[in-house]
Amino acid sequence: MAKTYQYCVAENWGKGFIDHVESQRITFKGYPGNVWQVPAYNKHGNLWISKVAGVVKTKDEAQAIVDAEVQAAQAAWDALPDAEKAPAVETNTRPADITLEE
Amino acid sequence: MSTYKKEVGTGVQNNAGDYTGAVEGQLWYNSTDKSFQFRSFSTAGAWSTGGNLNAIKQQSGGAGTQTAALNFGGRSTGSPNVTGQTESYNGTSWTELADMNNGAVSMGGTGTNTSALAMGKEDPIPSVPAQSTESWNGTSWTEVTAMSSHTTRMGSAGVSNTSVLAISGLPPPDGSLLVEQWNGSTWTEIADVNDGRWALSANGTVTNALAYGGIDTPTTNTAVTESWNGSSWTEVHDLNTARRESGSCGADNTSAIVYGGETSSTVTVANTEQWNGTCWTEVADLATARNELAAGKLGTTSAAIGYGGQNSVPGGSLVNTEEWNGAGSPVTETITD
Repeated sequence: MAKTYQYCVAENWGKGFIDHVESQRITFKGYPGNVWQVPAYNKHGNLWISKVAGVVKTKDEAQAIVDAEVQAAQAAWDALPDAEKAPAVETNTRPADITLEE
Repeated sequence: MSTYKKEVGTGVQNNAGDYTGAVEGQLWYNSTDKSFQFRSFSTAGAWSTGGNLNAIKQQSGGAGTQTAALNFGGRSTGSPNVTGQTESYNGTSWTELADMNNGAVSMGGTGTNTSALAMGKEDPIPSVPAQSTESWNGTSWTEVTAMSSHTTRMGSAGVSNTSVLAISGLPPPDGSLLVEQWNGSTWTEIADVNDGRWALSANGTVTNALAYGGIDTPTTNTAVTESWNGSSWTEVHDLNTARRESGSCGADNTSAIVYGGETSSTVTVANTEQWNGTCWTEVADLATARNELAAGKLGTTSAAIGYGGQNSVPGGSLVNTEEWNGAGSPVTETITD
């Protein structure tokens, strides 16, 4: 099955990392662990990965990076005192798993 | 190049960096990037990345515009790690300024980056009342008259540290109906909203504002939007996506933009919606889904800014800034092939 998205790891340096024209041309999705999703088989997606020196990852590799971030956050949440896990107002919930798209 | 000169009447201008004075269709050579660029105008709004905050931050307050924003208070990853740090944005980078007197999270905030107000601070330090208020003059924060109610996580509207509305907010479970107006020295209770809620968004002025989203039962997000005309609140068209803890800005009750937020306790969103005075329209998403972000509250539907917040992993605070340029904004395009 042809994939819809491709993934890379790139550090967001701020201004110019994604510019207005790039954002108009393709859809970006940022995930924990500096994982970025852009359209597959797309010239503008490829150019952007090149511009930001992104390290291309398979979906499974990207998923493993995201999972590691989520699991670390879940472990940190689990270690919190009960009072912070169940405050009077719902503000701090246990991190949920994230599933990347093909 | 000779063809370009013959057609256009001038040669290609050489410019070190972006040529902001270019007119539509004009070509120039960017000697810094070593590329040919030209000016176009966007056909649709889009988000781009802005300068990163110096410190990771969520649940902070925001004020100002896309090119002159302010970020204050909030917390970094972990708990509680509450801070009073203040940073100012110039359209490119953030600079640290004087801290707040008392660090806090989830406060209301609005104004400019030289005249802002932080009120209704949710503070894990019991010695600081939740209703305490601090005023920013561009250089330092000063404690001023506390709010009348114990509201926090409210919506806020207003243009300076002497003209602010604090709208609804806590206490739980359903949210307060109270609205208070600040004139620079005192808080005055004015007409209630119809739907009490907390973690809502708002924008506008003390006489012309909009309030939307939030939580109106212990766990249910709302899409309800209310419009303020200076004397009463009227329910208008709902958001397309009910959400809380979003970024928002806009001039008045006919023009607003809301971005990001949380649709359930574990789902952050990137959705952006724009209000035209009648209805909300879905426009381009943020690049990074996030909630509890701060916004330049005096931004517009043409030029908005959101910063900080937490991503899909609760506790994963962000330094990232995103800048919205609406349809019709000038755009620099680079010729790549």
